[in-house]
Amino acid sequence: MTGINDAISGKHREVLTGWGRTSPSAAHVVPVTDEQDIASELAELTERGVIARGLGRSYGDSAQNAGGLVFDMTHYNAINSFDSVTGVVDVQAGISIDELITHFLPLGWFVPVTPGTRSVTVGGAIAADIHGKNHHVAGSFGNHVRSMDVLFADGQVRTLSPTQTPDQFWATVGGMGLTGVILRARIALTAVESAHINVETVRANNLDELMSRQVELEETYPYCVAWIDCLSKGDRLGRGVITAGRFAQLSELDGKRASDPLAYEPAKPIAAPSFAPSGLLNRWSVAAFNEAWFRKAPKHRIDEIQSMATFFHPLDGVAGWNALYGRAGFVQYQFVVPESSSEVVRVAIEKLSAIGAASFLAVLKRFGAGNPAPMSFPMPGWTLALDIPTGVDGLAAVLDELDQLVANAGGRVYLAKDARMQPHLLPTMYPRIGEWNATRDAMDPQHRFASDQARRLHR
Amino acid sequence: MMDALGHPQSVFLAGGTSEIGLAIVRELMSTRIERLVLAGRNHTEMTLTAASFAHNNRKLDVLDLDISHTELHEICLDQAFGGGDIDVAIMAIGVLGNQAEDELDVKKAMKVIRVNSSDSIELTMRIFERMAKQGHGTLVVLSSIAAVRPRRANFIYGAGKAGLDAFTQGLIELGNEVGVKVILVRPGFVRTKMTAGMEDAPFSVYPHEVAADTVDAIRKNKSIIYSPAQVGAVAVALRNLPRPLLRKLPR
Repeated sequence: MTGINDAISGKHREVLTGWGRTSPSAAHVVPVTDEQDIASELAELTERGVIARGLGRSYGDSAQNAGGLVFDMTHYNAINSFDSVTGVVDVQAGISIDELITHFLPLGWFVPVTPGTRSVTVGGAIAADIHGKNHHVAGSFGNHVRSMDVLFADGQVRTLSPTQTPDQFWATVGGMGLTGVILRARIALTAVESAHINVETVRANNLDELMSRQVELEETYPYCVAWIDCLSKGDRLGRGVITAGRFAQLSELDGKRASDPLAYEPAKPIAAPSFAPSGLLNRWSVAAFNEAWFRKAPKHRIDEIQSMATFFHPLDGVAGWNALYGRAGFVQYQFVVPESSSEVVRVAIEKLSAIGAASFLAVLKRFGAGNPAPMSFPMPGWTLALDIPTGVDGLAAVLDELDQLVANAGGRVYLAKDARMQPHLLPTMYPRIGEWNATRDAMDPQHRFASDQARRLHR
Repeated sequence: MMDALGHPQSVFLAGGTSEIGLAIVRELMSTRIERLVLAGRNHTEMTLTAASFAHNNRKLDVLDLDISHTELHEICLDQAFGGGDIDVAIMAIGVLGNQAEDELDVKKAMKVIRVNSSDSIELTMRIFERMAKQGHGTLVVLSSIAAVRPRRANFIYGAGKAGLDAFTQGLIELGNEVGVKVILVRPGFVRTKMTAGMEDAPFSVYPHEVAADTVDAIRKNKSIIYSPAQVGAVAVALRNLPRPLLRKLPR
């Protein structure tokens, strides 16, 4: 039954949301298989504009465009070429991190940066300038893009690189798709000896311990992150489990792993029930989960060999886990504050815990240096990410308060997660937005690239 | 745009002097609201009301709208939607009539039924079309418990609201296909100037209570609500009550 949609726009429309399943909106979705698809659609663009969409893992409203056009890039996913000397791969932007890993890990190459899920496209990874557990040594995704081909608002495809066109290149990195459509990219992969990770696990009883142990572990390990139990209070506030790791060397593997060190077979995900009752994840079930998770972790363990997927992408084991939050959906709140303001992390945990905002996915990580992109999220300091069901009473006010604290501390909120921040804080959080605006205006004077998030934040 | 926690940036109230409608506007008010549009018949009263919502650069628009002049609906909506996207529209127009007089006068009865039913449905559908076109929006439609179980004391009003209510139930489904969230609100007896002088019925509420329940529905993604929630149970009971018994109940 799409009668009304076809009638409204003369074109087929679909209702889209982000991964948090909040704020749905309808758009004309065009699957892109070649550049001709894009060019012909651009020619008859309405004032509602267009945004490119990958696998829809942005939590909020950044990859949807109410009443306008959305390019579905996921079928534009070919590998064009690979240089086995430099490790640079040339791909179409709709290819996923999963497809890249499946193809290249058996050959001894890994993606330079991976988020907590393999289900993101290269185009999305660049547009959000995603980060991973190795940010403190490797920076974010944009740091590893040698060049990219971008479709501009004028219909021309231009090759952008950090050396030839730095302004346009870095405005597109972290630009949330508002400078153009990323069509192809050259990404530098990282050589690895095995498909396994040598992991050190440390359990910490409070936030101070968690932070200081994390700083120590970062010295030795390229990958490091902490899971936080956000519901623990008092002197156990901020207790958690740190996992740090590096790709295992051949000499560290035994048995089957040694005979085929690069073998990679992701487990078939189990499916989460698509119609979960809204109250399934509440403060009691999450508290029980957190307690079990914390107890399960060893106080200290070294030299554990884990598979790549277990270490990097634990949530990919459950397909459609976002449905567990029920029909009202959830928000993910992620911010970063400079190291000198690390107390904001404690305040955030306290304030959210006080209203019973149960989060069974709270992740703490210390970022290293940022990159030249004016709208890139990572900056040196601590970043905290939490999933919170939207139905929690008082949530909107607490998050507004936290936004203000984060902004005052010189920190920022991550736009790939954002679904609710207020427009007036954007220039405080992203002080180089003026630079970005100037470049974007030059690249797309009429703002033909538009999204619901851009509309909400007046970008 | 509506944010993930149900806070809009723009609100359109059809029935700009409606106490329940304005209570919903008040309940939705936040620093996020950049534009408020009031549409109705009493321009002066709406202008004064709009001024009470002034804040920073918030844009306040007052538009003329008479539900019965259906040929002029589009002029109002052109202005409402022409000034930018509408995130939440509230359809809060209705007349109670005077049952005792109206049931003796076909013309009067039909006027009440037309306003509450076909004229209201027409405006609701036009607002819905605009929202479907912009690809998003929340449309709140005020119905009544009387639409669910008409009584001897209010069946003319109830018949009108029943038409709007049935139409809106279908619109909820259609809205799911086009990204428009439709919310049907069925208040019990609300103490307003429209019901002034009438005797309170059981589970009476004030407009601000209906507003709180309505905004809760927006934020918790509910599509049909009773206010107060207890009248939902009453409605189900009344619907299944044999008519001879129903007759014996106080109002």
